[in-house]
Amino acid sequence: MVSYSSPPLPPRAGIGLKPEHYRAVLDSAADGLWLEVHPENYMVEGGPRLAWLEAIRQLRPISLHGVGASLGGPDPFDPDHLRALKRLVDRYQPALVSEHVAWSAAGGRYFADLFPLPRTDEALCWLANRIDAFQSALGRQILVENPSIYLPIKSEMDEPDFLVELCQRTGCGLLLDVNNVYVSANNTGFDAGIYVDAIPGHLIGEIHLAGHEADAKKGRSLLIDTHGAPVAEPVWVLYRRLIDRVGSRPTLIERDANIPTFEELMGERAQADQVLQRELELA
Amino acid sequence: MTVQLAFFYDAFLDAVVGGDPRALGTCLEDRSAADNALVYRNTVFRGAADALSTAYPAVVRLAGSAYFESVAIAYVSAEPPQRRSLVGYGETFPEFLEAAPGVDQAPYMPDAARLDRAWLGAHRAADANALAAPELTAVPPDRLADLYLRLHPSVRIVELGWTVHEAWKANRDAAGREKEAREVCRGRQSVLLWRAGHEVASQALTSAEAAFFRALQEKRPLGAAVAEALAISEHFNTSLVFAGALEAGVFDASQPELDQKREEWW
Repeated sequence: MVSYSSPPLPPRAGIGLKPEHYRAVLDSAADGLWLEVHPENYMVEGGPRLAWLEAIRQLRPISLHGVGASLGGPDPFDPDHLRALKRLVDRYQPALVSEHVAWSAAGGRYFADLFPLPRTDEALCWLANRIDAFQSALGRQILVENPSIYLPIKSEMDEPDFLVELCQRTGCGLLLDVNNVYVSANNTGFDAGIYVDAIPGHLIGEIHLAGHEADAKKGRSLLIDTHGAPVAEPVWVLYRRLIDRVGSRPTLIERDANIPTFEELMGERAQADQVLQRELELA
Repeated sequence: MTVQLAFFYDAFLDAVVGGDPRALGTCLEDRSAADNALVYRNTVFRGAADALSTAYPAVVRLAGSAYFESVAIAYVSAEPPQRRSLVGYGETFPEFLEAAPGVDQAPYMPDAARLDRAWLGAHRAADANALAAPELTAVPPDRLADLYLRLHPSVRIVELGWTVHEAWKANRDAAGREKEAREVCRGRQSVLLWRAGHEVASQALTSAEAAFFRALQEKRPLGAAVAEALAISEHFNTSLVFAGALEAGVFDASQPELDQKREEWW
């Protein structure tokens, strides 16, 4: 087994790695490029997927962005999932491991979606204990991502306060998805700018940018975080505002549907990288 | 009123899985927003159905996406995902297809699904190098029959009731030419699938060849496997089949028994 040193991600822009782009990524000379994958897609015994990831990992840092842990869910952690995740962490030595402030399994059924939670003291306590246990099981810090919200759930605190408190209780960091902030603000009626300003910069370990689409029935009053379109202009505006304040952070262009060509995706990546590079020059 | 977590889980699942948003409404600032739970309901279904169509591409093409979608809806509600990864979801889909309404229009479909399932199994099986022919040159000819040879971990042997292998192969990828289903007829067919390098290969077997590989898969020695094959057909050409399999990479490079015996022979 190859062993790597595991440096942190550069404060540059990366892309979500898609099988369609394996060859192009391997051949790419792009400076500072890093890759992110959902570990669940690599929970196989062997074969080409793992081999591609291995080849790419030898050239580039990677981040594992989990969707199956169900940190906020009612079921105990799935031992098979944890074991498989740990095996991937050991093999690929990712610079970062992240998960979601959400739940995705209940009663032995896996939903492969990110379900929301009420922001209450009870939920905060439950999540904090689970993140703590998850970090202990993995033996490392994780980042947790803010969800995209489609339901105005009765809550006791604002999301920034909820997330900051989670970090303070568990030592985890934040993966701030700026598109999720925009979508949630649109859907539940808060000010996305105030939200973004309220997140302490030192807690942010990574940023996500993705595209959203209007709901087919409800139109723009309900935006869906589809990862199926380019990053929208107002999300870029929020992103620049964030980077101006906190400085450069590793930033991922996420695309999981309507996968564009590698060149197109790298064009979007260059846009984010420009914002980061300009900030690095200023700093 | 504070939303209790246990109540919320149940209310949310009632809405998303059960399609009843009433309890969820009581957890919201605005009850009328409860129908937004449809977003989750769609995503949950779409995720599982997409995983199914990724796992069964030949069935999608042979059955047509409209029919596939209707069976997928039924399958996802009858046997929803349990493992925390959708890779490999749909393990029981071929058997489910057997009883699906309308499948009698194309009764070979479950067999095509069995081949898709075996393809995926071979594709993501554990890594191993293939046994190279020179490894066997040290074996004294009179000892070959006693030898137990391990197959590559990706090897799958599929038994079919329809001769669907050619049509399946032609429909595996979008670039393939769609074969007329009339080339498929009722009749036993055995297919060997294995991964050579990064590619999954497949080959239809004669009954004798199938018996030979099955015996090896059941961890029986080479001599017994040959005897099984010869009992079915006296035309079974042992050296040709064996050399072909070796060349194709069907045997595992790691052969603990061979290593052990080699020491004995020396």
